[in-house]
Parts: sequence; C-alpha cells; structure tokens
Amino acid sequence: MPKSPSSEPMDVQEFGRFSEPALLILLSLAEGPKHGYAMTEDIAAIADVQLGPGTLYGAIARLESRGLIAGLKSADRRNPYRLTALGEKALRARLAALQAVTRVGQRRLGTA
Amino acid sequence: MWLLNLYPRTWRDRYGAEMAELLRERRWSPGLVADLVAGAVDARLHPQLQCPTAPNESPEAKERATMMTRTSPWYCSRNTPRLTAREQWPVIALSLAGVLVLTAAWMWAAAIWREPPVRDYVMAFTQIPCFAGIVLTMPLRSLRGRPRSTQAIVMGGTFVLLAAWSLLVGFISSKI
Repeated sequence: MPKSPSSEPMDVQEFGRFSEPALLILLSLAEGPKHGYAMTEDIAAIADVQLGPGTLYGAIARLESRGLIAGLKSADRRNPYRLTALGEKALRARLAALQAVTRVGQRRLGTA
Repeated sequence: MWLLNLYPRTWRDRYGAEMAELLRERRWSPGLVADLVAGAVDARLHPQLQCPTAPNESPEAKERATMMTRTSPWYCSRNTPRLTAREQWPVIALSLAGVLVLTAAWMWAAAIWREPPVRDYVMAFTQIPCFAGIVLTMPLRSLRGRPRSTQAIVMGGTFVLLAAWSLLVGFISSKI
C-alpha cells in the first residue's frame, strides 16, 4: 500500500537514487508551480544537472505519492506541479540538514 | 516515443503525455535511452507509485480510481487495471459461471468415480472450481490489454499448476 501523507516532514533521502532529483524538484517548485520541462530547465540553471525524463518522472511520482507535491489542472498536456505545505516542510528540513553539514565541512577545511 | 511503451499502462495514463511532451524538446542520445529504460524498470518495480490521479483525468477515470480505492485497499500494490462498475459485471458473471460449471463437472465426476484410488484424485480436484473464477476472469482484470498469447500462457500455466498440485494431493491421499 502507498504510504499516506503524514503531517511529519519526511526526508527525501529515503528516495534512494531519486533523493537528489527529488530535492532539486522541491527546490525548483519553491519558486512557483512548473511543468516538467520548466523544471528541467530551472534545475539545469541552478544546479547544472540535466535530469532525464525517466529520472524526473520517477522522482515526481515519489514526491506526488508522498504528498510533497501536487499536480495542477492545465489546459494542455503539460501538467504543472506545485509544492504542498508538507513538501515545503520537507524541503526546509533537508536544507537545514545540508546547511549543518556544510558548516561542519567548511569549519574543518578552515574556509568558514 | 516508442520507449514509453516500456512503462506500465497505468504509468503511461498518468505521466505518458507529459513525458512525451518533454521528449519532444530533447535531443535523442544513448544517455536519454538509458534513462528511459531505467525509469521503465523502476516504474515496473514500484507499481505503488502509479496511483495518484492526474488533475486533468476524465471524471470517469477519477470515478474508477475512487471506486477501486474504496473497494480494494490493496489495489495500488497489485497494479491491476482499473475497472468501472459496468466493467465489473462481466467479471462477476464469468466468475460465477466458471465456478458453477466446474463444480457441476466435479460433482458429476465424484458421482461416477466412487472407488479408491480414483475417488482420492477426484476429491483432490475439489480446489479447481474454487480457483476457476479467479483464473477465468484474468483476461478481464489483471491480464486486460495483454497479448492473447500472454493471456493463454498465464491462464494455461495456472491451470496446469493447479492440476499438478491436485494430482500430487490425490496421489498422497491414495497412499495414506
């Protein structure tokens, strides 16, 4: 059975090889709703990563099944997606964790 | 675009049009093909990911999804095709007919062969009518849309396995 979305923010690290694409998608949607192509363009611009359609929609399906993103109605074939409140929580939690790791790394390298 | 056919039908119903649009914007490369193939394998390994309904889905498709969610909580994990209320009636009718016909055949056999060891084998075949409904309706449910050869192999294989199991049970019963 699919896991029902809970009120607890989940860690996208649970998505295995899709964890990085999932994080990038959440990051892209934090700016506003986007469809698949707009997401790949945005992600390429902010992270210099070109997500393939298989990887992109594998991550979208995981995020959607966990209630972290939601599809919006659209007139054409390209459905835009938006970040949900739960998705925003998950993104904040993941960014905070990454920030903590970055701080430790910079301190140890003497670059902080 | 033909590579999208590697994805399960429920996945294509949900994301196929969007992926096709995205592919129109992309230049084909070995990396893109590998990504699509890996995505198709992943989609087949994780059927539970194909449940969210598309925001643009037709009211009928949404009704199907709602009905299946209400009546079959394990629907997502089984990745079976969605059936409307109208499509379920032939399944029920065929299932009942199959069970009744095979039960009648079994009762007829039981009435004729009353002496051991044949009786033990007939008794072992009691299970066949019970499974008849499930196996006979496969082409209308889990095997819907599959090639006829696939349907024949899966259904025939299931019946052969059931028959083999019944023979084994009958053999053991006759020796006890």
